[in-house]
Amino acid sequence: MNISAAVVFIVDDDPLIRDALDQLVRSVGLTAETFSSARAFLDTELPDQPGCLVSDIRMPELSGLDLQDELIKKGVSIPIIFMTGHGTVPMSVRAMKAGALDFIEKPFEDQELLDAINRAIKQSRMVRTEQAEIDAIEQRLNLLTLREHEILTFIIAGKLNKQIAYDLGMSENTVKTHRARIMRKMSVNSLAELVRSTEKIALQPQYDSTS
Amino acid sequence: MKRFEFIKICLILGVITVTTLWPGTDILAQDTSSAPKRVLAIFLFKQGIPWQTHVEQGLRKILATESVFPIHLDVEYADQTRFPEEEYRSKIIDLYRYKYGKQNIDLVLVMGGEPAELVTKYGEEVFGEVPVVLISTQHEGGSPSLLKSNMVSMTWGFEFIKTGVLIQDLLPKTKDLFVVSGASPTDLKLKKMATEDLGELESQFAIHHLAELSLEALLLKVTQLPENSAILFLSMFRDRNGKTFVPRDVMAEVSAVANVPTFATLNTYMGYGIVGGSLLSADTLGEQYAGIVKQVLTTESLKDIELPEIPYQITFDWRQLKRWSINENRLPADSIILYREKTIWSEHKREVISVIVIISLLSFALFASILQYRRRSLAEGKTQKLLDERAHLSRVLAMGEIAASLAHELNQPLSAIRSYAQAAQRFLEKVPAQPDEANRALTGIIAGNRRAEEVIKRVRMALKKEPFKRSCIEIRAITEVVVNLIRQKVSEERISLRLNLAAGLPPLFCDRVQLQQVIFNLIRNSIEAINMVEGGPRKIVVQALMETATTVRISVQDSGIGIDADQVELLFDAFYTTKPEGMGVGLSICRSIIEDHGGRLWVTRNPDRGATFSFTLPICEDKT
Repeated sequence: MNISAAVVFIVDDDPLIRDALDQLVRSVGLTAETFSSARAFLDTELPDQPGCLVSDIRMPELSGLDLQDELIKKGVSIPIIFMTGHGTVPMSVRAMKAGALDFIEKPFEDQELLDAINRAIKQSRMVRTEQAEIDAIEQRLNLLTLREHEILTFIIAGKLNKQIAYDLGMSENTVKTHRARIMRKMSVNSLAELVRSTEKIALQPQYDSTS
Repeated sequence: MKRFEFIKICLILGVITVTTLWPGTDILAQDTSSAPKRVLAIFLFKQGIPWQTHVEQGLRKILATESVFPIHLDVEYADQTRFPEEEYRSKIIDLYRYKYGKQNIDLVLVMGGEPAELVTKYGEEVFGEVPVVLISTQHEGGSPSLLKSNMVSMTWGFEFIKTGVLIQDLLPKTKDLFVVSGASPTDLKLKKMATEDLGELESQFAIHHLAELSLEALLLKVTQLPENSAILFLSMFRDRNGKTFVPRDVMAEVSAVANVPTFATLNTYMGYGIVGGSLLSADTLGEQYAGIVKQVLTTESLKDIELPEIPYQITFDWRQLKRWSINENRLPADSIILYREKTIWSEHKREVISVIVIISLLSFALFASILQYRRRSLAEGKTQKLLDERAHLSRVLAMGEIAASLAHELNQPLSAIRSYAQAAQRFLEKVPAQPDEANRALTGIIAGNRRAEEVIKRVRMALKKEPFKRSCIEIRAITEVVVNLIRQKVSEERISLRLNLAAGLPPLFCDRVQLQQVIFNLIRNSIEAINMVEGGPRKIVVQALMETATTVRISVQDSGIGIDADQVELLFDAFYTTKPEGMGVGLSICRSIIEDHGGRLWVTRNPDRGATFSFTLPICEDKT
């Protein structure tokens, strides 16, 4: 996997640690961007690239955990690796519950941090690929008319054309025509594929006969 | 009778006088044979290379003490390893011609391949027909066919294999042997010889060369060698960047940082960090050269002259054996172990026992004094000695408290240094290496180091072992020192720490260090009290104001968890603590310090939340 296109964001109030991590990250050919406070990082528009965040926990003003909360509020999903001088258990539990990927104690072996960064970037890529797929499916879904949308929910509930025709009070042929159009618009070739796509965007199947 | 005797004596004296003054007598002949002989010794390296210095010492020692005729020794340091170029060679020949061309040199002793080659070529022209002894290691020296009839060439070889086998015997788990050498022609020559000599061991362990690196890269490498490996240090006269060194200095640095033991084959490395080896003695070698010189000077024949067996001695450094936990029982029977440390116990058993007894008695006395104080019954029996001891104890305990809070501050630079170092290593290991980036990381290491030193310096300042001495102290100066010590922690805990010192406060009469400790302790307690509360304001206010005309009141107010009414007095008891990790001596010592100063220390509950610790101290004019 090519990891060179990924960015590692480093947030630490200590300039020495910041610079040291910057060097360490760049020494393995990754790109690094450093921030002297959580606020500075929050105020920055993140590039459309896979990446991860390496942040100190204890910082004046906004702590690392506050930064994590803010990111969640903003809907930014980026894997976070926390660093701490002496990790207290409750702190790490809170961070991990909120989705921190790793928690490492200073001073650490470089390999420990670099492994964590690689894991984080891998996860960031996976999340991004998945998100891209979901976006594409939703875009296709938007192409459907209201009626097609309705019929789609019946189809993915496993109903036959005949049942759908009966439920919606239309001819079986009309259902067939709709069905072909849905398959084309959703760019799928089989019922199985259609179900998989709609599951990804959590579309609710219509099991009840009455709508 | 008497006259006859007198004539006899005169006759004898006359004969003696004549025989002594007569030219051509045996005695004069004796004088001719003990006329001084002049020997010129030419060394390969510049002056100051330890190896060469020891060879010279050995040479001088034998020539000076054991010769039947005086020998004048002239010494030249050809320095050809630093200046291998032809232009330099012709310049030193000119120099030798100028210095020795007109003098009657009786023998020229040349040590080292490069000067041997030089003298083979130009010796006859410069020194004439005098005997020339050329000594070099195998693999070097000019071709024998060029030798004149007045020259004899001898070679000897390093026996790296002996040390190799030794490593094998001592550390049978060794899988890799790292052979360190430099980038100068001599370094490369040694490397070549070692490679050939060690070839036989290749079935036992893999031989790697750390050659032609920069010193920095070498020092980094040797800190990260794989487990079960060893270093064989040959030499480093010059590194990849062209910097020149005395090899022994490089060896000392290498062995100091290396993560595996270092061995060598020269005795001049002994005592500078090598574990040991089958060592060639430079002094003995010099003595052997002197033997050859004497032999040639007495027989004036170059035939049948041979180098005696090369003097190797298996030698170890006891301190290094301990450092690498090498069992002495594994060493060969004829090994010499140097630098053995005598244990204090074996040397001074009686003194050690008395010191232990005294320390136990003292500790008991200290402990007793605290307990006594706790009961406030010290007044009757307190002596100045006990007071001083208790004061010292309070300092030692405060040291622990301060050290704990500074551990974090040290951790930061140490952590940065580690990352920098590892980054530097990666930059250097890259192909191609990125020395500029590595250099930047090294600069970072220096910065980190400096910061760690700053932290330590601050602790030292705070805990300076000065006698307890009360003097006139500005309250502002004291509080600033304490706030500096604790600022980082306060900021990380996101606590606002405010100083509120009334204007124009007079100086206080107190001991600077003790007062710092009291304020430090109180602020630390406040931080902990604040951390015991979830949410709410996080603030500490340190205030100072006049209490009466002769006392100042200093208070530390926090928004922490506060104190239960029934705890208020217990708080000041020694060994009472509300903190799981606390010792409970902090507040009791604070109170004892303040009371010693003639002040009071007490705690009040704040109306809204938290607690305020206050104490009073006398102002200066009162006591001076």
